[in-house]
Amino acid sequence: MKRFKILALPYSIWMVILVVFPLLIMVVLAFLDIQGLDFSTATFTIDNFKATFNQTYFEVFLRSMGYALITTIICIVIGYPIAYIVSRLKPQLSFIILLLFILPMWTNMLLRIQSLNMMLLPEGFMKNVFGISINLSGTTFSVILAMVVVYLPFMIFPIYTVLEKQDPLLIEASQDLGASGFKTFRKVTLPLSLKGVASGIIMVFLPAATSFTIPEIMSKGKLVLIGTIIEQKFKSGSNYGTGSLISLFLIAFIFIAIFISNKLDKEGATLI
Amino acid sequence: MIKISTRKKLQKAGSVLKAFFVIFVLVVLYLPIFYIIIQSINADGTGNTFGGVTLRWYGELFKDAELMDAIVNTLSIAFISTLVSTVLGTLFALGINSLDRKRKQRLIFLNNVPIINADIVTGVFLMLVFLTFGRMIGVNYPLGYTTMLIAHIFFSIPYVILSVLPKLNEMDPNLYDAALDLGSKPREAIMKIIIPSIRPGIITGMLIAFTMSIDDFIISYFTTGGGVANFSIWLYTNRKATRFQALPKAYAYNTIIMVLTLAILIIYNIIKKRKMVKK
Repeated sequence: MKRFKILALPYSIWMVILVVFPLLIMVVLAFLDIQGLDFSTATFTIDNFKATFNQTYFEVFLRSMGYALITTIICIVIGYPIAYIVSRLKPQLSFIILLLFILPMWTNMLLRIQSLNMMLLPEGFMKNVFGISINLSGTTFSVILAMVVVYLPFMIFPIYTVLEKQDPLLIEASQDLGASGFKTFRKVTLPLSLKGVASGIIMVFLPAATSFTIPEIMSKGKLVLIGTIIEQKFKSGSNYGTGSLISLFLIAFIFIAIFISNKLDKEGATLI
Repeated sequence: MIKISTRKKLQKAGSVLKAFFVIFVLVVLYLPIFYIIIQSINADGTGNTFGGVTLRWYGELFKDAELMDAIVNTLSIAFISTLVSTVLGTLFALGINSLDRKRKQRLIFLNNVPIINADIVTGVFLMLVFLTFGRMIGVNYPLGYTTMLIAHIFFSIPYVILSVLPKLNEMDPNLYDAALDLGSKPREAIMKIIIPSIRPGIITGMLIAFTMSIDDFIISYFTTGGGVANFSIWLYTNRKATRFQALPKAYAYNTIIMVLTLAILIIYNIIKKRKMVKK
């Protein structure tokens, strides 16, 4: 099958054009005073650095990390037990329950967020029909809730994948050697499933930290996270210089995540 | 004896507790979906009260030209990008699989970038490439349907590759060479030997690609322009417009898609079971 080697070449070129090339454009843009992408009138500047390294953006960055961290922790606390319980069920039942966790993903994500927001309105459907008035719309809680609802499956699946592959003989051996159920979990099951947890953390933390639709809809435009800033620089406005610099910062973090994920899982089996 | 019975009781209580926990989490995840289904048949267009059952929105949906455009874009892009990325992804996976270890790892690393990368960064990346290339060929504003389609193909291919590679790994590489030695043409050997053994991987990749495409908002939002929208973009722009009842129509569209995917899933499983029984 060695003759198929040639097929990897177009993919390398394609990925260089669409991944490496824009990264280079961003590095260049970070040093330019530029209108849109009009390179003819662009001048060299370091003003972008002054505009980026200030108190406001620093706070936005920390806030994004904070929201993502809380979301990730909640997802582990809920997602790990679920993955564990489901992985110990009979294959047929666990298939059905897993399917139930996948199905919501076939509903448009934006519409799910929007609906969640409508359900949390104090004077809306929930109050008039069920008599439940939950005045949580626009709060920190509602933002976190939406993040957990949307990203929880991305924590469950990678953990389930590793738990399901674990050799049941290992657990039997540990019990035969006199370890209690909890000790077996702590010494055998948990360490062997950390790979899945790590993948789950990456798959939840990054989207949560960089989302701009969830904070926008759930906080009614009050909450500004890093995704909001990037959206403003590149889409609503066209301040590509500062936008690039802020994105590059984010990309540095993302590449660390990709490196870690690559080290843990060379085949990428827990990513899908 | 007493000890054993209390232990059994504890175990039973434990499994009830576990079941409750899983069901509770599922209910929370499904709350917005129940809400969408109820609102899609709610006669009160504001959605604030329940005004009786109606199928009105399912009809209105087809009369809204702007929304229909967005839906046609969403579906056509989902189908085309799934088809193209499945074919290309499978071919690329064949290529990656036959590389030596070091090059293989390097390309898999690059392949993981779009999967792990934040959608917003991928969106900006693609937008910058399209705008720069547009300028090179003298098109000032290249963003539109084609660029959105290319973007969807771009983010779908890595999932196909990731699903196909493990299956290629499991395959005996000598089978293909044996087929050639026995006089098959390369094309024949690919279709009869390689494709059947990696088929489950191809189908998984295809399903993921379709799911990703039909639901995408952020990457599409950055790579389209000139008024070309998909359903998510249409929803994001019109979510606050109560005037022409955007939300009820969105609920109706979404319910249709949900029912369709569920139906396809059930039919697929029935066919699969029948085949297994036959065997």
